[in-house]
Amino acid sequence: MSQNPYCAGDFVWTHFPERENPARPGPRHVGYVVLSNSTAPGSAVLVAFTTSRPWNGPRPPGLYSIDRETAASMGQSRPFTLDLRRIAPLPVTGAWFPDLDTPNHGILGRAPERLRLEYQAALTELARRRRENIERLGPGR
Amino acid sequence: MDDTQHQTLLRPDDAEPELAPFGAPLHIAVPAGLLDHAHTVDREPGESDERYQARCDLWAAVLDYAKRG
Repeated sequence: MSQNPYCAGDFVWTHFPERENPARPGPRHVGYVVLSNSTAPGSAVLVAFTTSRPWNGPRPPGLYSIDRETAASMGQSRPFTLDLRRIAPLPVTGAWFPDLDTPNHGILGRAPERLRLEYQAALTELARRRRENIERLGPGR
Repeated sequence: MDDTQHQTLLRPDDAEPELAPFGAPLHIAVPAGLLDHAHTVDREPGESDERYQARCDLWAAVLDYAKRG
């Protein structure tokens, strides 16, 4: 079993699960690591969804539109949307992280510390204040 | 973000999943085998009590949701 190379703030290649099949790895996709619990083998990380689709209109809590300049500072080639409303705690295994065993582990960039803390706080707020408004998908085992 | 944007944009942007609308619930996908992994949070070198507690709280909340159902 591999060590966990992922840290909070990393943008990384994942097989983020699709909504229609939340228990299984989805297509190859860039995810944002909100939290990593350990560096030890057998760890898991909390990953949030990203997309190059833009968001139009009032911004809901937990959704961030990243402009081109900020995206470039995070190692991304174009603007994108970070959606903390859609998350998955993922085991750190090759099934979920296709580049886990490559030299850079599929890490594409990192958010600055200020934004990392902002995103963590935003997700904590979502989880605390909106407990009645959480949709859990998948078997969990 | 899908794989293609870092390659040759073989897929159009509209191949990306739609974003959930304003007011959508927090959506937590719970993968198969998750609960075999990682029930504790390690303290990072030099991490303050406050920051460590914040990470523990968030992880505990997510695992709590994951265990339901």
